[in-house]
Parts: sequence; C-alpha cells; structure tokens
Amino acid sequence: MNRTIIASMVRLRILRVLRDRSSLIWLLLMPMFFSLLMGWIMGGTGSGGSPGSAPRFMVFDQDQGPAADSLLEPLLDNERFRIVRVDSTLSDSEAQEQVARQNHTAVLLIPLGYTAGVKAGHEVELRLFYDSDRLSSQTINTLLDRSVLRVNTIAAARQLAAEGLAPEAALPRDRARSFDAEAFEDLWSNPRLTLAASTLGRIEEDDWVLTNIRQHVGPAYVLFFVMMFLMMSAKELVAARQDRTLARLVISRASSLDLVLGFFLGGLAIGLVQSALLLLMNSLAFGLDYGNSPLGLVLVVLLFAGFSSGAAVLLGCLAKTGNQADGLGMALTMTMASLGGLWWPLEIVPEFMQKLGHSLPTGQAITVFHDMIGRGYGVAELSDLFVGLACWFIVALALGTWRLRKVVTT
Amino acid sequence: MVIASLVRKDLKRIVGDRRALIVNLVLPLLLTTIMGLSFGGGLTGSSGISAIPIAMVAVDMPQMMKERLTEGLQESDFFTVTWADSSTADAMVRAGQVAAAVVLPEDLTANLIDGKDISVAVWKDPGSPFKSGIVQEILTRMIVRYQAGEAAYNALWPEDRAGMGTDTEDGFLAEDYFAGDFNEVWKRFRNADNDPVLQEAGDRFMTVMDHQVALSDALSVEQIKLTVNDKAPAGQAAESGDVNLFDYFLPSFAVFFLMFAVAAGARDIHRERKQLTLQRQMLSPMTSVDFIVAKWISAALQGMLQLALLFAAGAILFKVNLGPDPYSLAVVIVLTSTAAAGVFILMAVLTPTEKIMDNLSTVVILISAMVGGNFVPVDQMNALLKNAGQFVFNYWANLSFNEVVVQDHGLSEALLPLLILASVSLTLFVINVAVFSVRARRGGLA
Repeated sequence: MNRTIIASMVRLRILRVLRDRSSLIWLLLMPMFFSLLMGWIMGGTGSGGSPGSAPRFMVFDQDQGPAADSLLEPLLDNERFRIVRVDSTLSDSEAQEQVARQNHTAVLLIPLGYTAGVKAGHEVELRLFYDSDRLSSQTINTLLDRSVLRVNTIAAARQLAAEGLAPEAALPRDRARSFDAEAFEDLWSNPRLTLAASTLGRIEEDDWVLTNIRQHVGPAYVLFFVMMFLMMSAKELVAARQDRTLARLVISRASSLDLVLGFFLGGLAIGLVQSALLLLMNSLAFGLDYGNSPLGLVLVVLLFAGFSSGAAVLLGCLAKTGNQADGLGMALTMTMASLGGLWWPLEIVPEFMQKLGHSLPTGQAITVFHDMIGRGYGVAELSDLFVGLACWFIVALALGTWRLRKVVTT
Repeated sequence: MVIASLVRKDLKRIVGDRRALIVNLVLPLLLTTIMGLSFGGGLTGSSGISAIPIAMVAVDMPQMMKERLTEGLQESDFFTVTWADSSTADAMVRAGQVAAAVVLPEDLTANLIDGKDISVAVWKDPGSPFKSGIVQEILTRMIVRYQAGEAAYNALWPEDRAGMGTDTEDGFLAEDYFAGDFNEVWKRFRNADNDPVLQEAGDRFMTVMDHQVALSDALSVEQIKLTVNDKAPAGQAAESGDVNLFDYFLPSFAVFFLMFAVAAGARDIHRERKQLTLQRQMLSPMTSVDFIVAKWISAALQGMLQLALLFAAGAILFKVNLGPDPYSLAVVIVLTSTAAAGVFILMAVLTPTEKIMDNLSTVVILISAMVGGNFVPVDQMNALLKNAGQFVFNYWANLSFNEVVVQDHGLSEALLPLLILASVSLTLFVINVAVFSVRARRGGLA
C-alpha cells in the first residue's frame, strides 16, 4: 500500500472541490437553503409570531348579537390567529376561495337572526371554511367545535329542565327541576376529567413534530445532499478512466488497492467535511440539537459518508460516461431518499414501505438521528441500526473495490 | 428547411442519450410509484397510514370491559391495542413499539362515581408525532364531550352527584357492589331482595340511568349545526375511493424532470460553441435567428415528447386521468414545454460557460420546483411562498395540469394559467431571438 499516492489522491480531490466555487454551492449553500425552505413550507419553523402577524380568522357576522359574542368569546386573544369580525357576508364559494387562496386562515359565516334562533330554540346553521393543513386553522376548528358543543349542551339541558324529552321519547324521570347555569359554567371551566398529554423522550415537549426544521428536515437534508454530492462526483472516476489517468497511476506503481483507497478516502473526506459543516451550520442557524451521544453522531456520519463514497466508487466503475454516472447517481439518490424517509417521515407511510425504508441506509441513518434527538439514544440502543449501516458500507466498498480492481487490471 | 434539419439533428442526439432516458423517463415514473405506494395504496391496494399501535393502561378496569374496548378500538382498523401496566407502557412508548399510551388512572370507576377529579394521560412517542397526535386529538374530542355531558348533568340533577359516593350514609359501598364482571354485578342487583341498601342503590342506579339516557337523547339533537368545509385540496371534493393519487404525483414529477430535460437541451448551445460547430454554422448561409429558433423548437419538442410519453405510461401503469377531452392535456403539454424552452434557452444564451449554465439551471430548477409546487402542492404552501411561486413558469404549469388531470376540467377552467404560460412562451421567444441575434452580430458567440 502506497500511502503517498493515497494521500496525494485525497488531497487533490479535496483541493479540487474547494477551488471549484460551484461545488461549494452544492456542498453547503443549497443544503442549507433547502433545509430552511422545506422546514418553512412544512410549517415547523416556529409558531405564532406577533399578534399583528397572526393569520386572520374572518367572521362574517350578520347577526352581531350577544349569542354570537358568547360563541366567539373562547376564541378571543389566541396567539395563533386574530379574529376580524365584519357585519357583511359572502357566498360559500367565495369563502372557500378566500381560504384556498390563504387570504384568511378560516372563514366563519354567522347568519342573520342567529341570536334570536338560539333564544327561541330553533335550529341554526353556522358554516366554517378552514384549512386542515394550517395549525391556526385547526385550532379555530377545535375551539369553535368546543364552543358550539357548549351552546348545544346548554340548550339541550334547558330543554330538559323546561319540558323534558319529547313525548315519543319520554322516560319516567327525564325532566329536571331546574338548570343551574352557574354550576354548568363552573364545571365546564374546571372539568373533573382532564387529559394530560406529554411526549416521552429526551425532549418532553408537547409540540414535537418531525417536520420541524430542528427535528427532521435539518438532518434529512444533510444526509440527502451528502449522498447526492458524492454520487454525482462519480463522474470524476469515469473521467479518470476515460482520460487514462487511472492507467498512468498504475504505471507509476499505484496498486489497485491504492486507487480504491485514494478514491474512497477522498470521497469519505469530502463527505465528512460536508456533514460536519452542515451539521454545525444547522446547529448554529436553527438550534439543531443532536442528542446526548457525540459518539453516535460521529458513527452515523462516518458510516453514511463511507457508504456514499463506496457507492460512488462502484457507480464510477459501472457507468460508461460521465453523463450516465450523473443520471444514475441522481436516480439512486432520489430513490433512496424518498424510500428511506429523507423527504417525508416514514411513520406516515404504510407498514411495508416503512420496512423497506428502514432496510435502506438512508432510512437507517435518519432513524439514528431521530432516535438520538427525540429519544436521547446512544450507540448501545442504536446498535442494530449501526450494524445495518455498517453492512451497507462494507457491501458498497467491497463491490466498489472489486469493480475498480477489475477496471484497473483489464 | 434549415431549421427542420437542425431540429432533426438535435432530436436524434437526444434520443440516443441514455442518461437523458433514465433521468427524464424512468426516474419520474419510479418516484411516482414510490409516492403512490407511500401515500395512497397504489399498486397493492393497501391504503395510506397503517393502524396506530397504542398501549392501554387501566389498573382497575374489569377484563370484560377491556375486551369490549379492545374490540371497539380495533374494529375501525385505526388502532391495534396492547394492554399493559404503566411501567411497561412507558417502556413501549420510549422504545417506539407503540405510538402512544393511554393511561387511565387507578380507581377510575370509583372516582367517576365518587365525583373526584380524574386525569387521563396520553404518553406520546417522539418517533411517531403524527400518529400519537391523532390519538391525542381523538381522546381530546371524546373527553370534551364527556366534560360537556357531566357539566350539564350536574347542573340539572345535582342531587344525584351527592348520592353516588362510594361510602354513603346508608352504607352503600360502590366498589363492593360493582366488583367483578358485568354478569356478577347484574346477578348481585337481581338478587337484592333481602338487602335494603342494595335495593336503595338499585333504585338510585335506575334514576341515574334514566337521567343519563334523557340527557343523552337531548344532546343528540344539535340546535346549532356547525358545517365544517375543509379547503378542498385538489380532488378531495370527490369520493375518497375515486381519487387516484397518481393524478397528483405524475404531473408534479413530470414537470420537475421536464425542466432538467429542457435545460439539458438548451445547454447544447454551449456545447456547440465549445466544439466550434456554432461558429461554423454562423459562417454558413444560416442566420442566427434560424439557429436559435431551431434550438428553441428542439428543446420544446423534447419537452413535449417527454411529457407525452410520461402521461401515456402513467395512463397505462397507474390509470392516470388524461383529461376530459383529447386536446386539453395536449395544449397544457405544448404550452408548458414552450415556456420551459423559453426559460432555459434564455439562461443558455445569457451564461458565459456550460458549467455556469449547468449549476445555475440546477439551482433554478430546484428552487422553482419548491416554490412552484412540484415538491409540496401549491395549496399546502404558505401565502408568501405561493406569491413567490407565481413568478416561476412551473407554478402555472402545475395549476394547468391540476385543472385538466386532477379536476378533469377542460381548457376554459384552466384559461388563466394557460394564458400566462402562453404569454411567457411568446415573450421569452422574442427575447431569446433578440438577445441571440444581438450577440451574434457583435461577435459575442465566439
């Protein structure tokens, strides 16, 4: 093994990347930009904001009566949205369009005579147009549903106190002596039965979401761009084959093992530098926190970059032209990224797709990140995933070595 | 004639490029398949998200009730239930074996009867925030309804609450009488002739049941009906069984990869310059306008061919809808391809080298794809991004395909995006011809 040749190949590879400004765009800028934009699109970059910037909940209230005031009271002063109440109305299709265009996060139509209808015990219809993809809109739906439930329950209870059930459904003891509104409000505000939700893990916050830039998108795009950059660099090996650089290196007493190690370690070094910089930038820019296991972090980055570099050597040996290497590299990266859960969390796909995803290096690496960040796992708990990643790494490197030796000797 | 020869030459070269074939045809179909399998059944017929595994903790719940609850929860195929003690449930959640654990407190039945405060806990797995969120949402809705019912009951019949304690003045101990399964409780109350305390408890129980049923009946009539309309994302208005998710995914990926294909076609201008074939052609009787028009036609034809093949394959493999008539989809394909050709030919004309063009076009494609709705549907993006999306041609192309393929609408419904695509195509064509001619006249192509 000629260490000088290997070191020179690695140094040359790194220098070429560093000197090429366009590769720096792909190495660092695009991954960061993607992380930021995808986190933003998927809605995990933050909440609320200032009340002035909160999305509008438009209430077209033709009634303007006390029953409408009472209905909307639980929705006042919510940090996720602000109520804008007007006394006009609009058609269903216009309301739908306003929400679809995101002019308003939700639209509620309160008809004329709502208060009178509630007082008289008549049936009244409210129409809510909302966007289930927006947190603010979901909150409005939940709060309004609760508020309507309260009004309906009071109406039903008053009915029982006043008249009991309708004759056709009557029971011997269905009528109450009275309805104690104060007692109702007291128990409604301070219910006996409550739900306490908590996330069990390292970060025990209730708004844990994998689409958050701090929790999924950041690490996912680090892995995606490391793999993409290394796979796309397979064309350099194709170029070295085609312009006879490999043959010249062999004449200069470089063994096939030297060449494999030179190409592999060069890719690995770039992958490690790229991963380290991206993880650091994610940490500084978005407060990404990688858990309690530095060793686990180093291991996952090392094994994933190793796999990607080994696969790039294999691809560089198999592709006939640089363009073919580019196309295959992009195809493989995108397929593995989508199947392995780098584009969307694996928990939302069917079980057989989850199994497939978890068997791929992309799925194993992102699961390591999730478990380190979310569960606080270390190397021992993640040993199965590390073994899986190591297998992929060994197989990719072994196949790459075999193919490169064959290329060199023929 | 000259233009036709140039176009023929370019198309021959494109068809012979294996990389282009992989990237532009196989990859969109592959990714569409993956998306279909991931989000909507697709080829195997198994649909979307799998049943949510949950752990239930209920120390004092009778076995029969547990079985009933398990049957009820599993019947919907929404949940798979495992009963466990709290420490096992905690470990299962932390290990990700279940998405959530629902922990009912000890002495639940006694506390319910007794009027004591009760807190139901839901422990969520950090690795399954989506599924555990569903569990929390369902529980919240159930509990709010219970809260409303209980508040109403107590406001109507406060005397019942006072009489339902576990240790009342008449010596009724609820936990003794409600011990065991349903059959045992029933037999105990049926054989209560010689036990005045039990008889009294039985009467009270009947009263409470009458009140409960009356309230339940009363609550089943909603005075205020809240009709909730979701934003109707594309296709959701249809019955869920009628929705073919491939109708969404295929056009998105097709437009995404169309951009790569057309950019590659446009890059040919640089290749011809580098190999000096462009300069040689400029020495022939052919004009610079002939050359740039031929390149524009080649790039547009390449895009049309690719989109046509992808939709044909999509129709055969995934039953993708090809629109309400034979020409709507064709018009969208033509205008999308001409707009794409205009964008990337302009980029090729303005960039000094192939490498810069290569990097710039990839950056532009990825950013356009993100803001234009190829990765995330336009209707799911926030307003700012949606506004930004209106400045990229693929946003309008995606809207047009959505109208024709997803909504099965004709050209009249897709008029606005199609007009914008047509304007973009025409404007960029004129700019391309003008810029290239000026550069050729000034010797800027050398």
